[in-house]
Amino acid sequence: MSDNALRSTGFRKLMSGLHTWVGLIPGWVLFFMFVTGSAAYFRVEINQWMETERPYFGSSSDQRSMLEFAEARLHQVGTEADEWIIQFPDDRSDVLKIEWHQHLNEKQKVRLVEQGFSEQEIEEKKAALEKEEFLDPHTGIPLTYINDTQQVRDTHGGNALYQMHFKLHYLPELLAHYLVVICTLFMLVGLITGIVVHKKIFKEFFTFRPGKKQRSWLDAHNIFGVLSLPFQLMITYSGLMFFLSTIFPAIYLAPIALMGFDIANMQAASSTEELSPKNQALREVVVEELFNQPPELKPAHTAAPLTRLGGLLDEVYALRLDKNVRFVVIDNVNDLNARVRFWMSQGLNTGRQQFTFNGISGERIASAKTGIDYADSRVTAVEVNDILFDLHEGRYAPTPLRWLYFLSGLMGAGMIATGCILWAVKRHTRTEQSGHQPRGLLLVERLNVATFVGLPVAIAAYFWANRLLPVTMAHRADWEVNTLFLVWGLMFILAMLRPRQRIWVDQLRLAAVAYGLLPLLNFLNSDRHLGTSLVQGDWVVTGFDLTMLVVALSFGWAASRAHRARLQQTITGHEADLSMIGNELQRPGSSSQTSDQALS
Amino acid sequence: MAAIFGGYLLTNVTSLLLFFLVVDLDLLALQTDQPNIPVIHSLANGLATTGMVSFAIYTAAVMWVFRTPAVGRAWIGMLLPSIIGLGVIFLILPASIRGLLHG
Repeated sequence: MSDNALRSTGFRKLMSGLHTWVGLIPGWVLFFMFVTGSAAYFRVEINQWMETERPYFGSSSDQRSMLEFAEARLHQVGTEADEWIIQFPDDRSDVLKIEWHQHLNEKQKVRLVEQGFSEQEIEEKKAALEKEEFLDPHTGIPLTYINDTQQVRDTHGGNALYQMHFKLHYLPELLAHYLVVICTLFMLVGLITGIVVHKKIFKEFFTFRPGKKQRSWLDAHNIFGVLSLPFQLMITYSGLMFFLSTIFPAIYLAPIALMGFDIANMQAASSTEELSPKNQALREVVVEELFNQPPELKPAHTAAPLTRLGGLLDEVYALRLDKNVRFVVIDNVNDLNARVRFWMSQGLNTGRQQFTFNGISGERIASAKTGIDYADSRVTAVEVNDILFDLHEGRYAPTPLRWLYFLSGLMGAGMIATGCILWAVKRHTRTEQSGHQPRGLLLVERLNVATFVGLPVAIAAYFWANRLLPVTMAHRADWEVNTLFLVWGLMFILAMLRPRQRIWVDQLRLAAVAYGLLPLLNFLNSDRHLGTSLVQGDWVVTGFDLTMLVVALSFGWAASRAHRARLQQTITGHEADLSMIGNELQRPGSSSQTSDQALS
Repeated sequence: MAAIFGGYLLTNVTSLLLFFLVVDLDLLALQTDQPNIPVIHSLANGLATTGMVSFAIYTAAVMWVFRTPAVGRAWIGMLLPSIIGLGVIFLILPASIRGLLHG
């Protein structure tokens, strides 16, 4: 029995060593991923706040008339296009959005290359052929244009934050993916070892010992971790799943090779068009079989009039009780091979179902093989896989659940931050006794501040840039993102230059001010602000502005705590530390001590 | 080192072994040049299953290495099962599939 106990403490100690190592090194990257990823749960809402020229439309539910508005407008502006997309408002976004895209075909692309256009220029030409427009869902009237091409200011909105959380930024995509997946693997090992180390997981759940320096940081780390543990495990594991082919290519490529794909050709091709005919044919079979998606349809290049969409909507409504279409895609517009696809809203209990129609005759098309509508995958393990992906993205989540996602994500960020701070505080106390401060430790302390407070400041700067950069500026959206990183860089410089005792208070105050003034800036600079949004029941803008105020208050509170702690330290000097160590020595058997030792 | 690289090797081998246990090998052996729907289903099931389990295997391997006091023993613990696993994969695979994998 005692031998067993000894062995299990030994195991816990080893695991705590591992926990410390996998925690600190990727901690800063993981913090970045958690903060931007949490914000990304509200990217649709952030988009709305940043595209501030969009008026508030309130709720609208008559999809039939909206579909007619969109159809009429697209017949006006999009006759040359190959593809139309109509996106209905829902409980997250109140605007009716239409898109019409013209594809560059292979021949045109080859001609552009021959004419000496660079790849980037061709990409730009492609983007210019993709147009979108916002319509008033009640009247179908397009929003006013602020210049020749745009209805709203040029911004990447919440989407930029979403992209950053797994692509980072400025880095080549592959390198970023490797960095992200390795850090996430460390996170998984950190979580599992963390559970092993923290043996009294339930007993100490309600333990918080404030004002005790190191002990308090440990308790905070534990509370964040334990409270949101199911979320952290889910998000880390499902996050890894996205990168299976990056980190374990053998596991991924063997089955693909066995399916008959030519791997060398697959890896060389950058788009489906560059695949060899054999791979392309096989891909179509696999996509249709596994994901139950209709095969790609090439245009017939014979003009034919499109059927009326309203009739198709009636048919879709007859098939589904929830009568809630998310968006409609029309392929091969005004071509004999036109096709209309209705994508249904995804709820807690409904998958990604779509109904497919012939765009000319209006006949419903079911999968030729299965005889049922194209919908979710029918392979069990693939479905489980899909569920993990959906869980990660919170695709099905209604607003309250979305908040829970957001808060759990922030708790993850909090767990990472307190863990890294704990690492530094612990070594600081240890080295204070020996009187020698290693340079590496001081650097970690400064980097901690620049990351855990500097990044939030930089994100606030991103929102500031959205309001302050001139609306007509070239590459405006990119410059908003550049501002984020410039300010973050500035925070690093600030953390390096300012005296060590001041950096926490400095940056925390800066964060409080930067977030606190955002609603005011919004009030001065936009028609959608707290003054109007509260009256109109515009919950997206109200929610954004109030959240900014809450964030500002939290940083303000943290700044005042840090300020007080610093004052106390300068008054009592080392006495406080010494008496604390004395207290600890008087109760050597305390449980907290053992768990603390395990962590050191 | 043993944890990162040994664990990586072990994860790959164990996952592949698991993959071939999940997949219907008799079906696979009959595969011709034409796309075969049951084979694709079986392979996709295998891929999704092993994909989901592989990260757990890696985590367990890393933790085991850190638990093991001697570095040499940790390496043996990673390499020996990997070699055995590779051997088992080799044994259970019909010759026709081995050819496919190499080609």
